[in-house]
Amino acid sequence: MSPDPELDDAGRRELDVRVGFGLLASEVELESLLSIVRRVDVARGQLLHTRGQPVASLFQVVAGRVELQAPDAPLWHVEDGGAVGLLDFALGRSHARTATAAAPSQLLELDAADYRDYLEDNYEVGHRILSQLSNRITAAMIASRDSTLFATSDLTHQERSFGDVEIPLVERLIILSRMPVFRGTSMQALAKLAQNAVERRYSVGDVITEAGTSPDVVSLLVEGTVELVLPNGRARREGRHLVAHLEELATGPRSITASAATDTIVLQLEREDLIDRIEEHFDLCMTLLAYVAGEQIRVNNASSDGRCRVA
Amino acid sequence: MAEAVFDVRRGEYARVVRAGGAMFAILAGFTLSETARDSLFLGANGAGKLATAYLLLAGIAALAVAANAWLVRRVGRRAALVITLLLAAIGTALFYPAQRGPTIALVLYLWTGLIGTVVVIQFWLLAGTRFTSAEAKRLYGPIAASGAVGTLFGAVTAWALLRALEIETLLLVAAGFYVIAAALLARDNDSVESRLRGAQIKRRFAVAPSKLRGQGYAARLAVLTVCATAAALLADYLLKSAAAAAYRTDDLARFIARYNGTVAALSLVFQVVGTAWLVRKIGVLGMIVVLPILMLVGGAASAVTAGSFIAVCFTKGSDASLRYSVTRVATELLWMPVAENVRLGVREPLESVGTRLVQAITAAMLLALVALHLAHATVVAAILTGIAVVWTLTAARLRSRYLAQLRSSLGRKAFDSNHELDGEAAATVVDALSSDDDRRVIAAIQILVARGHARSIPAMLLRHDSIDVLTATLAALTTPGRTDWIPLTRKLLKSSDPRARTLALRALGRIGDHTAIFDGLCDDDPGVSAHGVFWSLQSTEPVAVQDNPAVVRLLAEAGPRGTTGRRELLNAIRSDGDQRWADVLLVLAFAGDDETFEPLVHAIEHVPDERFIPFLITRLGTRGGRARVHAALVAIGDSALTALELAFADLDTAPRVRLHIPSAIAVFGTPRAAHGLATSLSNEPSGAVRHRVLRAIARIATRDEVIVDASLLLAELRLHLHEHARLLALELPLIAELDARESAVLLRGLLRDYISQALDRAFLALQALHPREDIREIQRAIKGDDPRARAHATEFLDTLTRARLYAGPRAEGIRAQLLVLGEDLDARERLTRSGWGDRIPPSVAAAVTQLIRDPDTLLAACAGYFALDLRTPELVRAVDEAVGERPLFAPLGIAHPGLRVA
Repeated sequence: MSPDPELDDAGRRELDVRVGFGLLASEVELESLLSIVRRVDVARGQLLHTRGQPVASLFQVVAGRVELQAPDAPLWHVEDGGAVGLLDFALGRSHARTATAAAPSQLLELDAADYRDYLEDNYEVGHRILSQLSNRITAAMIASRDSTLFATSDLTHQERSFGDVEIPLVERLIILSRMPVFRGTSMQALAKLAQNAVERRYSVGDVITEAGTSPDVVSLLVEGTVELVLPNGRARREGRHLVAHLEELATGPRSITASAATDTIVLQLEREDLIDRIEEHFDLCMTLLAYVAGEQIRVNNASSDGRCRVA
Repeated sequence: MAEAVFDVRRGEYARVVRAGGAMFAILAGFTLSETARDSLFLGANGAGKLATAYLLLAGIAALAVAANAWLVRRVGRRAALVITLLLAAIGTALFYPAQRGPTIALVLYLWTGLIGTVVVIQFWLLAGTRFTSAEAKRLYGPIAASGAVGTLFGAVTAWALLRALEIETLLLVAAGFYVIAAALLARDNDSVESRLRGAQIKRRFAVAPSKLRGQGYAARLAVLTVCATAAALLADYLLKSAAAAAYRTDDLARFIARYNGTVAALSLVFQVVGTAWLVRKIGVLGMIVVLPILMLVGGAASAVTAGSFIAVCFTKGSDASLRYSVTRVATELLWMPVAENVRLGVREPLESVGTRLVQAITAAMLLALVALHLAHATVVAAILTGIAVVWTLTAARLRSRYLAQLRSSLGRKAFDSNHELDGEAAATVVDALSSDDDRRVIAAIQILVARGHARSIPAMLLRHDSIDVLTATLAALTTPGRTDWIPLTRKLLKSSDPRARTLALRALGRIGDHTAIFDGLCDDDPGVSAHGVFWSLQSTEPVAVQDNPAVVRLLAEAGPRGTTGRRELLNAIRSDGDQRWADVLLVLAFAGDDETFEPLVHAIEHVPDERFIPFLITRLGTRGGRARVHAALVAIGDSALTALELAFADLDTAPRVRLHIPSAIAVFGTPRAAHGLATSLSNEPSGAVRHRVLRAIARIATRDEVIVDASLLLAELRLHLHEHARLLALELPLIAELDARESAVLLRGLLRDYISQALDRAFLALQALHPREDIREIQRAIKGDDPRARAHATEFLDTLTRARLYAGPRAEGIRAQLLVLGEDLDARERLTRSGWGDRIPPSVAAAVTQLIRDPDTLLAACAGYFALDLRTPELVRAVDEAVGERPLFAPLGIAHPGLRVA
């Protein structure tokens, strides 16, 4: 590991940053990223961080291999192009695993606080990360052929049924604040989302979102059960969750069809509106990232060979 | 009484008592031994030998300090000080039975001097590990005051003992005090580091601050120390020479005891009432100039009066009474933001070896003066005056360095993103051009172009099969004076990929290759053909392009082919178009095709025209392409800014558009843009828009270094600080009794958001007021859990807000409210200290009643909603009254159920 930034090869650093982050950032965004990234070479066995330590840095693996260990948990390893520390950063917690270079590795290091500022200044990067992670996680869940990853039945609260009554704004606010995907979001942001959300009611068999389409709304299940038709299976979701799980946060054509398995009430947020709220309330971006990070952990743990893209 | 003067808080008493007690004992012991030392030395050797004693002391002290440093490394700072104190006690006691004489007096002089040097420095360095700078600011006062009491006590004790006992008795008593100090410090094991351990440890891999970083500031502190040391020695010489000439040995001892007592009393007064008051009133930077100014006055007076007893007493008295009170506290605070490694690398050698060296040089100079029969009071005082001038000027010019040091103690290193490529870096980038990874090749091209090394990109890259690489390569190669790309580009015209043909046509069209343009016109692909149309018109004399049949056909063509053609025509205009194409763009703008929106706006940026303004402003409401809309508006210029200002002033403008106008105005980055935004703050009704305006102003101020009218920003800063305090006061009863009902959670959550938002807005205003400061870093430190960073941030704000800007009535209360944010206090205490204590409602019901009447409708509605759950008669009445005045529950979409308590 080179301890001195003066020794940091400026050309290689910029190359690595552009290759690693170029797809997620515009030229201006890359420029500000370049000012907070440094390149480090680590020897095999070098400790990047230990379990329980606060997240001070994030790493992008340019080349090499990093292993992440925790007691009673499957071993994860991250290789070229993967990110280390991003999940704990997104979850706002201390490192849950100890990260060690399993081979001589070249890494890009970002100071966690700087990176948070960067995301706050460049909210669209945050949104792109969110949507790219959601795309990848959805693809990985589908590829795992384990449809239970999409299923939910956790009715944590005895939820009130709205029947034919239109959901008052205050109830919408309470519903949103209890949804796992918005846990920790400021009330102000949720109030704006609740104000702009559109209530939709579906009867049994109605299609809510269809594979192959690119809806510009995010659907939130308020009441009822939906059935997801996956490319290789089916799953049911109930409780107050995203209708098509993380695919709701992804962009591009859907691969899942969601239809009402019972009479169903859905709140729909326009994606544009959600992004506007992210711009105004950065905490919303971090909340959504935390939720996606939680799902990434499930996917990582389910990985048969422990290989992870994001850890 | 002590509580009224000193701000010692719960949990701090034990630490302060231990440190203060030790300081008391150390200085009481030192004053006793110093009284004995000076009287025995001057009695046996006279003032003439003082210079020799100073010189010897300097040499021996340097060795002793080196030994002490070794001891510190071996056993730690606290244990080293305890051992040193015990050795001091034993050594001092051993002088008690010794026979009086010149040699013993000299040895005693040196021994006592050593104790004074090593022990006091080590004590304060140890204190630096026990307190953060915020604590130091409050607690060094009482600790130093204990020292002043110790000095006074030592002087009075010496005076009393000398009435009945021999001088040597003082040495035994002094030894006893050293033992007491050692005992107190032996029990002190509460390091600040252990309290900081819970805070986030930053940058495991980050670079340790370089020894050189922060040394510019440290060098100035070193100059202060050097001047202070030299001046103190000269003042000491002046006084002792005058005293030796005026008194016999026994009278001299009593004079010294009386003098020490007076000085200690003065020091105590400064310490008890002066230091804390001075910290508040003039700050650290004000305190550090007090002593040099007094020394300057005293030195000048001594020089003018040829060393009158009063003048030299004043000079030495100033030094003795302020050095260990005001100046010591200020010096310790000034060293606080310096990185630990710089402190270790600069301060310790400076205060140990450095000061000894200065003393040695000063003493050698005095010796030389004595030898040359020039050691008159006038000469010595003149030298002292000169040193005091340097000292005063250095201290007075410390502000910017101090702020920079505080800033760097909080800030993180940013890497240069606009560096020049040196040979090795350039070679690495060029190597990447042959990478298998297209992204790496493109990155390398971008870097080489950005750094002016486009000539290093070989034309052979045009054989690459990636369209993205070809795009980047052609953009890089088609520069004036370069032609090696032309043959390979002509070959690309035959590519099966229409994107490659488009790229080639664009590049060749720019150099007027008619064959290529003709091929383009005949191309089957609508995109390539559109470029052919563009270049065929571009290469002719100016004509009204909108009437050209090929253009008319292109604009009218339906279906995907039409869309592709129009998009590519726009791409061609955005790269190479001119004003002739404005009418075509206008037609496309009115067509309102979302699929061509982004290239259209991009093209408008290239061909700006005032006729596009209404279209562009309307499109601000749509997120996609907003950055391009901003750029296009800026390209149009002042008329676009005027239109934006008018649209913003018009409250009937679509809210979504209006919300985004401030950031569009900010892109102009001019004083006019900033002023317009700042002026709008005073009558902006929407909180969300105000927030946008503040962000826009802060952005203009920091990015474009535009000075915004301070009075407008101060008003905004004050408004948000008041709002923060007001909401914090209303929140207190609600968090004191945590109600678990949904309505309570809702209300608390919203209140917390607003509190945080008010603070964010206040810091945005502060950022706009101080565009060159990294206020966000300060805000993060203030809100964070690292007590040391918070203390430095508070000190930074303290220094920043001592500017004249914050002195007038329009800034009233701002400074106090900002400073209290970083204090380690609970919310109630914080509010009380900033004058908001009486605004805290006595109960939940009282808080809710106030919130129901809050101007923010959502907050009022949530309060009302909670009141419905609480159902006390008082709250029911409040809700009923509020509902009678306005639709209280409308923001929550519920009707008022007509509450009545049964």
